[in-house]
Amino acid sequence: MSRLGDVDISIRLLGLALFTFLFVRALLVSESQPVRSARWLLATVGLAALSLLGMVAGLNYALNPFGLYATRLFEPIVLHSRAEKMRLYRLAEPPPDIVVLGNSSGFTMPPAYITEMTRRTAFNASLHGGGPEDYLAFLNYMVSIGKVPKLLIVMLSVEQARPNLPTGFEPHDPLQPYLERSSRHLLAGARWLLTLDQTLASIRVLMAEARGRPAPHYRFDADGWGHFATAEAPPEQLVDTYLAKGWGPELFRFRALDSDQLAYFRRFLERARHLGVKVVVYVPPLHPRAVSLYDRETNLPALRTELLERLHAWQAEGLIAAAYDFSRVESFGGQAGEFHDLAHPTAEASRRMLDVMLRHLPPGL
Amino acid sequence: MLFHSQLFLLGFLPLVAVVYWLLSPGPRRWWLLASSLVFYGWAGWRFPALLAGMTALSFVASRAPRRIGLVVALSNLLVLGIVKYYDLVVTTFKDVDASGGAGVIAPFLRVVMPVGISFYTFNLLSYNLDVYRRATPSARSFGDLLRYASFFPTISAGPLMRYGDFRAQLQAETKLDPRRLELGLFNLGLGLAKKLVIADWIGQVIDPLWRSHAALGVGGAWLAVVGYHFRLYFDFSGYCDMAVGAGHLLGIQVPANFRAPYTSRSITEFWQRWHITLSTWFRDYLFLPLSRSLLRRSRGRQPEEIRSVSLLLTMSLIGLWHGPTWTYVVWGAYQGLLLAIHANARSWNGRPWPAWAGRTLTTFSVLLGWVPFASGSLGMAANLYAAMLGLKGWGPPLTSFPGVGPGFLLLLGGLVVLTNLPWDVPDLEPRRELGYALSLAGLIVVALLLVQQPTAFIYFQF
Repeated sequence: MSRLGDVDISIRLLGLALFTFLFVRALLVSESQPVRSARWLLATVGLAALSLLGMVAGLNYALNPFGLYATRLFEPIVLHSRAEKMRLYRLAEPPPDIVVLGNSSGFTMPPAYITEMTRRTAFNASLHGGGPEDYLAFLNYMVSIGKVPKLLIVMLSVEQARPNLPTGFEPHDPLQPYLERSSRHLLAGARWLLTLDQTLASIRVLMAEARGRPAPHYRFDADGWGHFATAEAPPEQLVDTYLAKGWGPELFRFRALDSDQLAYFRRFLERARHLGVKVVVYVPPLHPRAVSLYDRETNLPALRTELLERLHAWQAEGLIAAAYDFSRVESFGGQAGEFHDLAHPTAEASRRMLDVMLRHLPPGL
Repeated sequence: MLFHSQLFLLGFLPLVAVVYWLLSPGPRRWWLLASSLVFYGWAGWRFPALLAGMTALSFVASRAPRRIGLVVALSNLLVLGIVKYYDLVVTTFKDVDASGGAGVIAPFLRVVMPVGISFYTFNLLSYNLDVYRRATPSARSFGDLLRYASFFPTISAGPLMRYGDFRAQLQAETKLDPRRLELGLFNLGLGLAKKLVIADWIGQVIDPLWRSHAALGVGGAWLAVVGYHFRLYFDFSGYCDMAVGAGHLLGIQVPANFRAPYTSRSITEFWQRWHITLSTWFRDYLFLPLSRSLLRRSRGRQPEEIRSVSLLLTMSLIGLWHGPTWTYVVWGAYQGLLLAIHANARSWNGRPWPAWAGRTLTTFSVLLGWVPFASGSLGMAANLYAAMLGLKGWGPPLTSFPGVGPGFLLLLGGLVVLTNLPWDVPDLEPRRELGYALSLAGLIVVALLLVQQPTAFIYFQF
């Protein structure tokens, strides 16, 4: 992480050095400009920039660090969970009665605790970067192997229903046959060819090939329960890092939830009802410091209200057995200290949420 | 659509520029109008609809008898007032009511403020005022005026342009000039780097400091304010450079908004170099008419007092123009006070200060002003001032803040030097040398790599 941060800083410093050179050189007006035309400068800059961009795009396409393209020269460096969760679910015996679906924030929902409370077998099928379309795909997968649970405990957050939700985290996504994807993903893949993140990841692929791959950020038990690797920094510092990187106020400055994601979620609910599977939905918590910031500076309160209204409407339709809003830690008796970082509650916090949700199991379970 | 998004840089702008120069002058103008409306309507069709409505009002006003037209034109200010300031007034009355005061309560509108409304309202207003003063002829058609108001390089956050300048350039420029394209590419490259390489880097480090302002000690508070000092300049001037660059690609010279403002030796000079098009707008349409009117009424007596009052009022309104919060009003009044003090000090005929002393004092005064400007509330500003004065202790060491390392300190040190160099980008020209061309290409590529999830320019909120 720190090495990658160094590369990031180096690229910014390179940019600063180039900017300084261009700025200062332009200030130093000499009497004799070389006898070249504006066309020459345009052609040279254009050709050089296009060549450099082509090299970067070519590097990223060839190394394919996120597994977004068809190339297979190296193993991508991404956070795997779909293939692993599908494999573990296929092996789970007896077939789980209760399944947890979510993104990485749901990794710490402990199936053993669910079993202890309900006397039912349980499995955690939360996926890295999981969202409504993954839920639908995983449900289709469960049907395809004949292991349909009786109850689904499903996370749905505002960030999972945001416009342009990044998808395609997994290389050669094994849920792909169960997904319905649009051309939007092709465009997103092309856009990623020219990003610093993917370029840094390409460099990491080369480093990993030369020096060996690092240990994974998390591992899963046989029941799908996730354990995070020990963090390099204290949680409070990680909250700041999250806020400075992908989780700044910009994340919640959009105006309305994404209709595509909501449509996926509704189709998932309809499919579950058709199969006779009960669904309990919860809105997961974020670190209280982040929540107070978002409440102050973003559209999150209105978006959360929109999401809850949508959930209650689906509950009224009978698509959802129960819906819980855990977006604030006080709502389930949690504390600020029960987070690994900004978005990932600890197992203790997850147990508290389960205490609330499993207190009244849906009838017929 | 953001200037520093891949969509704009690699798709929209090249497409618009290429088609623009392929067309003959007549269709070219309609293409420009259509492109501008697509650009502005990217976030939603309601925004261009409001723009068209306000432009129609302005157009009708410019065709009406002079005094009636002026009144009609000023009604655009009413629209701006409702969209931007109504909720501030209601909040204030609610606060008064809560403390046992007036008891006037009205519902909040909670209108989403269209990007750039402050800028195009002022552009339209300058058009009507110029027509009223017979400084410019009225627009020949509604399309002409809408083309001016919606001009996509400047609609989001300026620079403000005068209708006469815009129309003259659009009519005069008929063929593609490689020199213009060269300047366009150069300004786009430097502006992109200012935003993505410098301003966003500073933002990543200082945003967490501003968010946790209550916990800052003296070091953290000064780092937050000094960081903001540079971030705001590079963010806004980066945007303006890109606007100038995009204008060049279409053969239009967009006016410069900055001329090395941090080299100023007095606050008066600072305001001649900072956000130039806004300060000249207020100078031409408010400060000068107001001062002249007050002088006439006082029959030429007390000119210094009249100048001070006019400066205070004008700068407070410039503060309020930035947004519906009292922090902006306080910032504007503070600038007005500084300008009035400086103007009066000049008339005392004392010996001029050494340049270094003037520059240091100006920088310090401007820095202190950014505290209310960037604070969400007056309480937050007071809290930061207390921390800067050391009333809240030393706080944690600077290097304990995320992102504050040798690289970041090198950046700040470099910016102190760069911003003290005696010129600024709009008048710069690229060098036609191989090393220079390759460096410019390299900078454009580095900046493009940093475009990932573009953060909006700070001035978009105004």
